[in-house]
Amino acid sequence: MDELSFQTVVNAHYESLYRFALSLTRHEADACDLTQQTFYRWATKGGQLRDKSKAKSWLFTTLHREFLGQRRHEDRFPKVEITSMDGEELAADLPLLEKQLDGASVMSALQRLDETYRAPLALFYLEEHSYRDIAEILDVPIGTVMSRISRGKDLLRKRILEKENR
Amino acid sequence: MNREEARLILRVCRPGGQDAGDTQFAEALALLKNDTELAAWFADQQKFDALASRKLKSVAVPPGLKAKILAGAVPVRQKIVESPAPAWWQNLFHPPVSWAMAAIIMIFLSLVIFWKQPENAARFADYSAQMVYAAVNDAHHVDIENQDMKQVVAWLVEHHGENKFVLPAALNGSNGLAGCRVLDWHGRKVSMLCYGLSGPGHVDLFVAGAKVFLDAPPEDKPQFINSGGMPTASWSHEGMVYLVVGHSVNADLRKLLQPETTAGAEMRLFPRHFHL
Repeated sequence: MDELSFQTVVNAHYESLYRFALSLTRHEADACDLTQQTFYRWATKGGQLRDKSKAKSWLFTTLHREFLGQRRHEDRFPKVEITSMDGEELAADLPLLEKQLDGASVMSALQRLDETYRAPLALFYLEEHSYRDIAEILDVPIGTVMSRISRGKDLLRKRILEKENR
Repeated sequence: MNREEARLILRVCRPGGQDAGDTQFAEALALLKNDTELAAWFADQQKFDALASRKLKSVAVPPGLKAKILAGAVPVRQKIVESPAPAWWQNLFHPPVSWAMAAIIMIFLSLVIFWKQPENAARFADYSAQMVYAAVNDAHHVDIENQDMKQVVAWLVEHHGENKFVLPAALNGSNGLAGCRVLDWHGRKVSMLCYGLSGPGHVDLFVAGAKVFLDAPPEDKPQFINSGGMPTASWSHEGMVYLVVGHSVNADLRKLLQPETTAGAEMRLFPRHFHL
């Protein structure tokens, strides 16, 4: 892999990868480390990827695996309790939210979700991966991804509105 | 497809419109034309998704991150970029080639070892077992019957048997000598001397070159082992391997090989004594 192509890949994906990492780790420094580690993997093993159009999926998959590997060792990310919301959809004044919300508060709301929902939702919003891509990246069945995104969206909306109503 | 099924599918429909052509979504999207309530719900979903996506994408990335990423991978990339094209011989060490070569080498070595084993690499235990069998079971026990050690040695020289041996006192003279034989063992000549002794009774001594064995017995220190149900004693000395086989299970080979102090003509011929 030459200098130019490596830099091209970094330019194209490092921001979304960092935000995905931030949604997973909840800490800026850990997210930076995870992003760097992912690109290090790309530098050492990315050349083996025959279909270069899969670079984006490869990077997100690798980052997620790195995260899971680190978490297994550290286990320092406590799970957040999820309140039951079956059948409940909260109405939101979206124009108002548009004005009041910033990126950090939405990220904060996302980070408070259980990782079960956090990872697919982050992929859905940050890079607008299809549910098929997300299933591949997270290595879970498509049906599971669909239900997790669906439920995760409800939970995220609730978190955002809770914060705004305080 | 009912409304709930449509909702489930439409919830994963990306706000950017990328999924409009996907057949999975086509049927659900078609329902929106005739279901105003579903259409309003979907519009709200899309707006929320677009909002969340926009906000999340606006999260600031640490300014030094890109530089760190590029710097962190520099050693690796330099190594990759600067490595000269491998010479033809370096390709031999690439996994698929090297594995194949390793396999070929292993097969070759195995065959060499297999072919060479009879000549150059034998287990002493196998030799011992075979000699015990020959001593006890062969109807043709000796080639010549002769009680004179000099004549026996001369016969061995003539028949290309091992003849440059150094014997312990109890076996180095003509006393008790009954005859000899030359055996062929994996292409090597083995000399056998047959004795009828007053103590242990009938014993046979086999002498062979030591080089053929990977695990020849220790130098000058007889090992007493039962082989094939028979007592044996074996040792090495100056490139030769000696094996004594007793024909009686009660034959006391330790006593036979005790140091002797007897002097005489035989002692000059075979001046070696063992210190057990």
